[in-house]
Amino acid sequence: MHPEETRIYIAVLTAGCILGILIIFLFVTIIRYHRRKVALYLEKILADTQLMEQDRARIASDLHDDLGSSLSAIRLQLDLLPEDSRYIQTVTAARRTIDDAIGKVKQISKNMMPITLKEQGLKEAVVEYISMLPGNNKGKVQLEWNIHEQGIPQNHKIHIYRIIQEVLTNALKHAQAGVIAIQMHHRNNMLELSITDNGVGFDKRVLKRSRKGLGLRNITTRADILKAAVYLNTAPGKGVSYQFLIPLPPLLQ
Amino acid sequence: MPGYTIDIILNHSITIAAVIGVVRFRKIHKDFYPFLLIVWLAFINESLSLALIYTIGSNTVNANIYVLAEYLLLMYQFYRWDGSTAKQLCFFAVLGIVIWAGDNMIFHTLQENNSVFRIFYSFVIVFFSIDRINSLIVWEKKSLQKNAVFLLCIAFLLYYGYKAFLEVFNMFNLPFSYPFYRSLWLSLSVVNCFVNIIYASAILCIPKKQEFILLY
Ligand SMILES: Nc1ncnc2c1ncn2[C@@H]1O[C@H](COP(=O)(O)OP(=O)(O)OP(=O)(O)O)[C@@H](O)[C@H]1O
Ligand SMILES: [Mg+2]
Repeated sequence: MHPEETRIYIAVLTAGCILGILIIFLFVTIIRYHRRKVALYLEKILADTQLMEQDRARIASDLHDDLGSSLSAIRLQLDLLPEDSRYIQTVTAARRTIDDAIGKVKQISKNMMPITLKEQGLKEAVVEYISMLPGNNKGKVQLEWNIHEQGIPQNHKIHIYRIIQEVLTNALKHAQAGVIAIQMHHRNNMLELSITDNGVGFDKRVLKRSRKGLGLRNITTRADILKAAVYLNTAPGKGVSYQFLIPLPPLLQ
Repeated sequence: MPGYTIDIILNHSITIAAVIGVVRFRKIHKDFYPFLLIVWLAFINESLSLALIYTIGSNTVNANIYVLAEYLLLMYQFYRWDGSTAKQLCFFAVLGIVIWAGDNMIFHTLQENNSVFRIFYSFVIVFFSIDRINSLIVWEKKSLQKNAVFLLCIAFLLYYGYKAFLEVFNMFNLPFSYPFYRSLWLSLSVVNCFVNIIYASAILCIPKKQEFILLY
């Protein structure tokens, strides 16, 4: 090369290096700020859902304790009414309505905050939720539960429970499925939760941006809190199948 | 021609990525197949170039055809990554074919080192890479360091950014000597080798299944 050319060549290489350094700097800052963004997001959804669960727990216990006991008191007062053949029909009807109302209050408060979850564990809470499903829906749900729950942190359980609740609600509301199968297994150091229905399915690509419902969003938010990986397999006519891989914290021994 | 050997070794670093692609093929999500195809095509093209340089002394014809294939496959790859940009991608694919035809058939021939299309395609690829990177910043919730799409797009920025920069020298036919141009392309080969290593590590990061994310 001519000496002049060598100088130009060095200039070109320098320009190239500057370009390269800029791009590498871009790479590093993107990764750093993205990590911070994700951490903030996780903090935020954690705070939001905790607040929501606290509110729900409060409303549920208010419903159950205040409204529920008032209704029971009315029921007792009705029992104290003197027998009078003129009013017997009305009174019986009132009793039935009140029994109904007591049942509903119990169910609503259980839906809002499953006491069973705290007292007996995740599996019992899920079984109870299924048993409370209306009509012939109970029979559609198959449960296969193969885990021991000691390893699951208490605050993980409510999120797993909500995910199952939301997926089941969707399956019953949209899928027209004959069977809904829930399976919970251990896989390495993770929980593997799969929920499959054989219903109508939907188009993932359309749904990704549709902003229609809150259900799926709730599911992904909970999964983010659990740091779980979500795989959703579906297509029109092909049913819906979810897989959640939920990492467990290392056992403290 | 010993001057070529270092180029050849550097450019053949694509072999690592190609082999990893073959080994991991069953564990790679379908959405990345266009990129795998590009890697294998690049490997074939490098080998073909080598053979042609030693026989007929020039690899310009296959290189001119290869860049078009690479461009179209990359457009398809961007479509697989994000279907919502289909219209823009189609537009640029067609525009690319027109420019390629003009550059290689009307204004020049396939036997020349044509730069106009290479500058154009580098720009388009860089634009789409930036778009992809920005959408990852917004939507992705897992670590970006191990995100195959992110790594690939950064590699595209590096390689095609530098390539567009160098092709400008070629386009204006500046009165430099042959060794000067050879050294220029050697520097591109160094960048190419670096990028090929990023490709290889990105292929190692490609997941088998795509995680579900909502865009709202
Ligand atoms: N198991 C399923 N089978 C068929 N379609 C489903 C299923 N689950 C969800 N979908 C579709 O996905 C859409 C979004 O579900 P999502 O739970 O987010 O909203 P929603 O159920 O309509 O409303 P919300 O949950 O807020 O009451 C539904 O409108 C439905 O079209
Ligand atoms: Mg729903």
